[in-house]
Amino acid sequence: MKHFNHYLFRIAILNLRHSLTRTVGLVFFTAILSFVLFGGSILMISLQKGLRTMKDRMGADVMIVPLENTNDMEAILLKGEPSCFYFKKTLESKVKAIDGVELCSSQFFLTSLDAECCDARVQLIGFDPATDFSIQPWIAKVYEKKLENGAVIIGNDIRVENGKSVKLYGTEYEVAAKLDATGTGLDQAVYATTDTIKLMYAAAYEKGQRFLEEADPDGSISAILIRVKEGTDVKKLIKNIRKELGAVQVVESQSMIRGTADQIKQMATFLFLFGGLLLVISIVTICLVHNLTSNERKKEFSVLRTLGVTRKGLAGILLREAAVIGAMGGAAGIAVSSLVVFPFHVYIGDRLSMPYLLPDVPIIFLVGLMTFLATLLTGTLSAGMTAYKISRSEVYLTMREGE
Amino acid sequence: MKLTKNRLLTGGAYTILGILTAIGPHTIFAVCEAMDGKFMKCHWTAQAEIGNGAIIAILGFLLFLSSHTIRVGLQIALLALSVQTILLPNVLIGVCGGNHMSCHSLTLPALNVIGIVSIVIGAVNLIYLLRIKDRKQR
Repeated sequence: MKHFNHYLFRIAILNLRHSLTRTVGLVFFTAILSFVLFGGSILMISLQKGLRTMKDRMGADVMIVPLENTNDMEAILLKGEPSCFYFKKTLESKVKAIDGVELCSSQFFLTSLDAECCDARVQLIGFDPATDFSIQPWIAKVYEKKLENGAVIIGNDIRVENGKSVKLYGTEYEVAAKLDATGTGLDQAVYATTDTIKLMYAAAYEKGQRFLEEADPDGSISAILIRVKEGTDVKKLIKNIRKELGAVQVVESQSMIRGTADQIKQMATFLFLFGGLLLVISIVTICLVHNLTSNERKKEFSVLRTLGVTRKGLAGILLREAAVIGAMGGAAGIAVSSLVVFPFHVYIGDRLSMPYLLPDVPIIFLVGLMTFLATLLTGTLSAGMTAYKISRSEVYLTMREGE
Repeated sequence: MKLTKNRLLTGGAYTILGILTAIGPHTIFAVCEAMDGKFMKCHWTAQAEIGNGAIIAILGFLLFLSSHTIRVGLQIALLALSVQTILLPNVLIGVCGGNHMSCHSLTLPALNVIGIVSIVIGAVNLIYLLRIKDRKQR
């Protein structure tokens, strides 16, 4: 039996080699299907992981920024585009007094100079260790000690040449730790306590660096982050904040996340439809190709039957041919797709302007395996009908066909 | 000289890959622009790839015309140059440090992919050429 199977497989391979153009065409077609299924799945999983991490990482329920800087804040969070804007620090104490505010902390933003530490400008975020609730829980995961003055924490995308210090405004600052990746713009920021930011500011000022007029770490802040008390009506709270503070922009984290989630959903729907359509087209095309070629090969099959190949064996040859095409196309599509989705993942994330984080290796392998099995099954099942038809035909009648 | 399928495929592939290596870092997957009039190291990688890519394209074109023995030699040289395509942006010169800079997020992976594809084509072709030689000798 083992020898029989081996011969069937060998005949299938020889058939494929004999009709090289048809084989290459079918492999190419299956490879496109596999490319789209694998690439699309990795893309969607990466976006969903990015969104999950963003949700976890935001920490604050509500953010308050100067009136004209909502887009700048979103650019910092999603794209990592450095920006700085300020309003008066006194607003923080007013926010604390508003009913429904559980935790409240301010942040102070600066941007590094061009081509200084990291070849491009980076966002410097100063936080108050006494009140902060959004950054410190993440720092605690990678750095257990207290963050000393003069030390900084860097985002996952910040590359430090010597691994120990980062140069900002001409002075070296010790890198205490690197945060885990989030797939958001927060990976491209440098974090420090407000005291360290003040040191940076003073050192830079001494060296002749001039900042925006309102950029004063003692009297101004860039954003106020709020955690809302449980059971509080967020809409009402936002209304109260606006009434109390006047000309400020109040951003609800949930609405920002919801906007991103909607975009991801739209993309998922498109990819799902496109993938589904491609799958249907593939099945129909492979079915047609097998059906048409089987008509041309009727005499070949009859000769094989005359030589002693059983009906089951005949169907087996056809199914093996289809399985080899499916396997080759599946593997080729996954390989080519891997050359796009993995090396270019940073570029893809940047172009999408959405949180984008590649899945873990076991998940990538699982997606690869599922894609491979899907293309293998698509090829084999599409040939199934033709294999059944061939196995039912009568040798004598087929040989005499056309006479 | 007969223009076989092998000559057409490998010669054509290397000519295209060579041209891409040479002009890609300046056009399709361009490196960063000069900052305040100063060029960063990715610029010099792109310059070096012009020479590297041009030689790949020329040797690739010669694959169309050469005899079997010369093709084996050309293929070995092309394999070495393909490795150099990867080494230039990764080790020998490098690109900018920022992950999100154009040279790091686009040029570097593009050159790596071109290098990997060139190496795979080269390895397969070299094995094929050596097997033909064996068969001819037998």
